[in-house]
Parts: sequence; structure tokens; C-alpha cells
Amino acid sequence: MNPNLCRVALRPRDPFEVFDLTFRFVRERLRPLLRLTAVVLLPPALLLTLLAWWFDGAWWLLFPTLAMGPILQAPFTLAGGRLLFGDDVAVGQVLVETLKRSVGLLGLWSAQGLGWAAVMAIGLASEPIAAISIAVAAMATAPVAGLLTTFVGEAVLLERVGLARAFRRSGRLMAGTGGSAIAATSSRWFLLVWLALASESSGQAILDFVLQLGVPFGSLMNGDVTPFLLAGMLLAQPAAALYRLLLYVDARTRGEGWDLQVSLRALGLQ
Amino acid sequence: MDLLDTTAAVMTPERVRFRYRLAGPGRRAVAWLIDALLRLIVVVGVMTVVVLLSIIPGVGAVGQGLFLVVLFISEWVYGVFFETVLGGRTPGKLLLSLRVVREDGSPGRFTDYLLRNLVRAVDYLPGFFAIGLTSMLFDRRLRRVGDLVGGTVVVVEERDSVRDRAEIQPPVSEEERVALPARVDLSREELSVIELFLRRRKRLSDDRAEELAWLFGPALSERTGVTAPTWERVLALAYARAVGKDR
Repeated sequence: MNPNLCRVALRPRDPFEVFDLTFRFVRERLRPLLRLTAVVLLPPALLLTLLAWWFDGAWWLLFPTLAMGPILQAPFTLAGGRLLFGDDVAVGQVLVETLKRSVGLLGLWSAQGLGWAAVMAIGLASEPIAAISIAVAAMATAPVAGLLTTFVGEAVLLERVGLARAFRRSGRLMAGTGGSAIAATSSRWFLLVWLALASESSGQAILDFVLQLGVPFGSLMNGDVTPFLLAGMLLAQPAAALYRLLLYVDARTRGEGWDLQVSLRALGLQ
Repeated sequence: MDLLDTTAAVMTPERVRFRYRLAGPGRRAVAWLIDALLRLIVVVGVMTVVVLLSIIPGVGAVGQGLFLVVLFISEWVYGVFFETVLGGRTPGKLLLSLRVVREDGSPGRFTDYLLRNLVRAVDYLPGFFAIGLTSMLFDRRLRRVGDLVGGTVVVVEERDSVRDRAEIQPPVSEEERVALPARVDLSREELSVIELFLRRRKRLSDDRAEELAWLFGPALSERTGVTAPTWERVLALAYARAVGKDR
């Protein structure tokens, strides 16, 4: 990454401002991001809709959706990294690059996936109350695990380093910007919950009030996992990935003086 | 080429151009939560009074009426009242250093505040602020529908304080001072960049600091005649001489 060519103004920002910047970033790079969203998120969204219909909105559908999260985020991290320096990216190229570079992340993803599978298995074997308790406990411990691996994905995908070195890089970046790491981890859950609920209420409103079709997929209010809820959870993945990417840029700006590099280089060339 | 940022430019009638920092959903959500908490405290307080009043025969209905009035005020009047009285700020915005201003950067008026607060109900629809957030996503100035109707924008009041001083470590020695040219002229831009570098020096590793200094050090050394064992020191010494910190 060459900060001299970065199209985003570099300066240290607080996590809230980075969140606001993410909105501007998405707006300015909407077309390529929408294309990527269609290619990456549509197939799992259709599959989950089918499963939700087949299993009558069973609550366990939340777990495969959560487990898919890190994998779905990877192409958006890579595309976002490219879009920091240009206006457009080719979707095919991003997907091929993601496949090549994410080999290093397979170990991490497998561990995360196994964790979610274990939680789901225990939950399925227990009473609903116990399952909810397990889910709550998992959501409470996941941020801690998330903190330890905040920028590992960015290091592997954007800096092309191995997993061991990516952990060290992530730790070093986190050391200087603990606030960013906490924001990145908590925002993932915040975005997940908020977008899921917003999607659920919007979808139900369109079906029930606008189209007068009632609630054919059930409703979250009745304990059903609907396709709208799952779609919101899927949409949270690119949002979380792009926010974390900009936090990563901010962490490097603070820790490695990216803004200073741009300014000093400009002075040196005068 | 304009870099992507969370700022917006305004041209005044006197053709003075200035920029302000926009407040997006991140900060505004926190301010909203603070306001919601304050409103909740008031409503719960009134509800407690209503419950106590209901014990007195014949006063119960009055209490219920009072509760509904307070609920209405907290929802529809709170924002307009505080934004008018506090100059575009509610208590939540005050704590987050946010202010509602008109699109041209001038202070908001009562009608602006009234409109943006009335239309907030639309932003909430169909739930979880979905329309408001979608509007912010597509608007260049991060405005919700209420802001678009009221012609307002929420900005962050700049209160940047300089926490780290521009220190020259180690201080300029007598030997270095004697070796420095009698006069070093640096432009305002050069001074501000080197000052920023010195301020942030503690957060950079030694290797990275030298790498950064190398980008400007050779050109500076050639132009001013300042020499030192490292490029980082060249920058520090040139700055010290230019601003008189070498004594």
C-alpha cells in the first residue's frame, strides 16, 4: 500500500469519525461495491432463504450465517483496499485474489467455524433457554477473541504476510490504537444486530403494509428466523469489513505516520 | 483531485471559502442515545409521580393526562426546545460537540429546528432508523431526511487541542548550535509539517522516523546547509533554528 496515492484524506481520526467516513466511502464507491455484493452475498442469501422456508424459520440458521461472516468479509476487505487508491475494481479479479490470499486465513476461519459449530451443536442438544444462554455467552466471549485478531485479515489480505506474522502485525497495530480495536470488534456485533433488525422491520413492512401479503415467512416477533433477518446479517458483513479496513488505515496512519509520509514526500519533491 | 473526507466546503457571500467537519451516524447515534436516556429519566420520574397520585381518589385521571402530556413533550418538543435555546444543540449534541447549522454554515433558526425535528418520525420508519440511515448513506453531507427538509446539517465543533508538544530530543547541544547556519528560512507549510513530525515522533519507531525524515531531509539539508548524523536530526535542527528553539 502506497499512502502517497491514497484517495482518502489521511489524518488520525477517532472511531466515530472513521464510521462516518465509511458512509462517505461506500457512497463514493457504490457501483463496484454493489457489483461485489451481488456476486458474493446473493448466493448465500438465496440458499439461506430456501433453508429458512424449508425449516420453517428455525433459529439454528443464525449460526451458519454467523460462521460465514469472516469468509464473506474477505473480498470486501480486498476490494476496499483497492478502492482506496482507485475508482473501480473488477469483481472477478477481486475474487481470484481473495482465493489466492485467503489460503493463509484458512486456519483462522476453520477455528472460528468449529467454534460456532460447537456452540450450535450444544444449543441443538439443549432446551431453547440453554441454547439462548450459550448464544449470549458466545457473543460475550467473541469480542475478546475478536480483539486478539482484529487486523489479522487485513494483514494477510493486504500486506500478503503469513498468519503468524499477521498476528504480530495485528498486535503491534492494536497496541498503539486500542480504541480502534475495540471499535472494530464491537461494531461488528452492533452492525450485525442493527442491520438484521432494520432489514427485518423493513422487509415485513413492505410485505405486510405495502403489498398486503401478510407474514408469509413468519416474524421475528413470533420467534421465527426470517429471510429478511438473515439478509440483514449478511449485509452487515461488507459494512463491518469496510469499517474495519478504514480503522486499519487509521491505525497505520497513527502508528506509521502515513499522513506524515505524504506531507514530507510532497515537501521533498518541491 | 479532492480527497475523500468527512468535511464539506462552504463559500460565503463574501467569497470566503471555509470547511467544516460533518457529523455522521457514528457521533449522532451516541448523542441520540444520551438524549434518549435523559428523556427516559424524565418520563420515568413523571410516571412515578403519576403512580403516587393515583393513590389519591379522583386525582388518578389527572395523573394519567399529565403523563401523556410529558410523553408528547419528550418526543416532539425536546429537540426543538433545546436546539433553539442552546443554539443548535441538545444536551447529547453538547456533550459530543455537535451543532445543527444551516447548509451555508450560518446559525439555524427556529423554523429549521422545528422542521428537522418534526420529520424525524419519517427517519425512524419503518423501524430502527432505516430511512434516516439510508438517507445519510446517499447524501454527500450525511443528512437524514429531517435535515434535507429543514435545510440543516450537523457539524462537529472543532476543539482540537495540542496534546503532544513539538519536542526536540535530545535538546540542541552547544556543538550543534555553533555548526548551524546563521539563518534557516522555512515556509509555513514546512514548519507545520516538521512540527507535526516532532509532535508525533514518540509514537513512531526509530527506523520509521528516519525513513520518514529521509523523504524531506536531503532536500532540506541541501537548501539550508544544515547537516547532522541522521535525517531526523536534520529536520529537528532546521526547525529549532527557524523558530529559535536552539537556545
